[in-house]
Amino acid sequence: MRLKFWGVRGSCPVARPHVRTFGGNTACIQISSQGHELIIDSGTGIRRLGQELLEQHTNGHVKKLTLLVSHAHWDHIQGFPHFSPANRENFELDVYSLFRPDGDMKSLLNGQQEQPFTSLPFERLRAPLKFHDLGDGDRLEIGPFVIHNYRLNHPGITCGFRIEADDGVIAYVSDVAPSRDLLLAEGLPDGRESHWLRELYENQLKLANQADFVIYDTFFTPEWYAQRKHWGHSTAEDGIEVTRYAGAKNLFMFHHNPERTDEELAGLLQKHQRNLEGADFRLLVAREGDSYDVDGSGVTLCE
Amino acid sequence: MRVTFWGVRGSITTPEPEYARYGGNTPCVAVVLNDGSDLIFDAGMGFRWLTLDLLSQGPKPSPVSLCLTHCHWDHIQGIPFSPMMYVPGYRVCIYGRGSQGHSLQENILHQMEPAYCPVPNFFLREDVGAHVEISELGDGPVRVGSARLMARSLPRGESDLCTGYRVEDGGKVLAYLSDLEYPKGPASCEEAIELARGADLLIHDAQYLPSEKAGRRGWGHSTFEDAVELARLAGARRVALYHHDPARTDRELDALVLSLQRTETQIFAAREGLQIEL
Repeated sequence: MRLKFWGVRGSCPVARPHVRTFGGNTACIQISSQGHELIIDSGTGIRRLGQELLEQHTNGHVKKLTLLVSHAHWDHIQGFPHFSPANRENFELDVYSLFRPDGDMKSLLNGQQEQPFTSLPFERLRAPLKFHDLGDGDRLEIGPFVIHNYRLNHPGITCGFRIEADDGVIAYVSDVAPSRDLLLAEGLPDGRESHWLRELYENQLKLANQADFVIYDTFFTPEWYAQRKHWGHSTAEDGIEVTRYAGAKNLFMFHHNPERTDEELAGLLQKHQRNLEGADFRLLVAREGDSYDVDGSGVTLCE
Repeated sequence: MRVTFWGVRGSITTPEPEYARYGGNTPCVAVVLNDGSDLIFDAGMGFRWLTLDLLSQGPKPSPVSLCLTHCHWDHIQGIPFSPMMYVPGYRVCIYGRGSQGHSLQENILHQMEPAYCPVPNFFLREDVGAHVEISELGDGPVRVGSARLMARSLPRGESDLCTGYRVEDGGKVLAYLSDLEYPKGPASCEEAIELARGADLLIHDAQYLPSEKAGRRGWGHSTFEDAVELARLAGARRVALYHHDPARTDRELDALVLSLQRTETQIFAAREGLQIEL
């Protein structure tokens, strides 16, 4: 399968020179295999992905797309009103997200598109849209993809995804806070906080178990994390720990802080890479526009 | 008045390099009034970068005033991502008008519900960050710093409204008209003409090319022809084409500006970072 990063930034899109190299669009990832398209999250990066899909698919034959939404914070849904295939007859879109008691994903996406927020109401979109609720831990088969989802520790209701296809495994673990301090996930059944923190950490390991590719929320440095534990994000150090315990092969720093300049990000990567010499996995940075081929034999950057 | 463009892009932030020269941040214009106080129009992503700059100038003795045209996301999405909103001691007065049967405050808060926003409704809490006041404007003028501010409701097609503004300060006039769509052309919109009359600078929505307009009626935007026509009707001296379509690249904007006929009004495309002293 092939993976492409369309948006790698966290919190808010950044259209400023300090992020030109790694990119300023918010979260969006495309995974393709055997003619099937899977999209994870619909941050601002999904606008350009939508344009490319329109250019590639010009005939009247209906193309099915699958969108997995990790949660409803803006930076993961704000591109959806600008995803052109949703407004074309020759596309069909299935949207999957974790069940939430406080309003389903359809009403949340619709809510962002109704007046007073944008001009194109949901019910006027031309592609057939279907919404599906997932249960925590569900397994799903779509074309060549086997998809698992697990709940993560992040304010509100958030899940990560594990995608298996073509003997390769991609784990999407964003947005997530470490389990060592605060329980941020909401609406969990009764139980002790320490129990849920442990469960949610186990979920990270289930997602990343032996994966070829772990895409991890590395929004914070440890200094920033100490001041903003309640924001619900992790550090590269946390990603390294999970990757090591899960026996995964490649860790991608992702969901970059809007303040983080290209130089700082490259510096962080170098620093951690030096510390990881001799480790059984590689550390990389997710960069907008980069594609990778992922199969059982390894991970290759596409030219 | 000193006017600075911090965000000129409509609808959605475009960080890609082909938009870098005119800029990819959603709408935000800052005005420093003659008495030094700060007046801001719209709080798209440009608001984040503007307010970082304001923070670097140190404490503000007078409140920062923010005028909103409406509550589409691209005009308020900078508020929760503005570090200034989290700093105690700052005072922010938000002006505007409600719409669709909701007050201005309801519309802003709806966007910041917990499902969407990790810091829901933070800015109304007295114990967190800046002190925020939200005021709905009527038709009468209000005093902001050394300026006189006037608001009018303007059409966004047949069924919706936005708010346009006129600022008079030290004998100069700025008009800010974004996200409006004239159902029957600018000539039939007295409110727009009234706001822009004799303006030294008119900032006007120009999202669409005339050729794109037909398919996008009711989406609430204007063309550069509308902007130029309003400037002519109102006798404005300069017009900034504003709220560029997210698909409009730098090259296309260059070509658009070159294609404009010379008129008595000076016409240019608004660009992030551009500063104009009136």
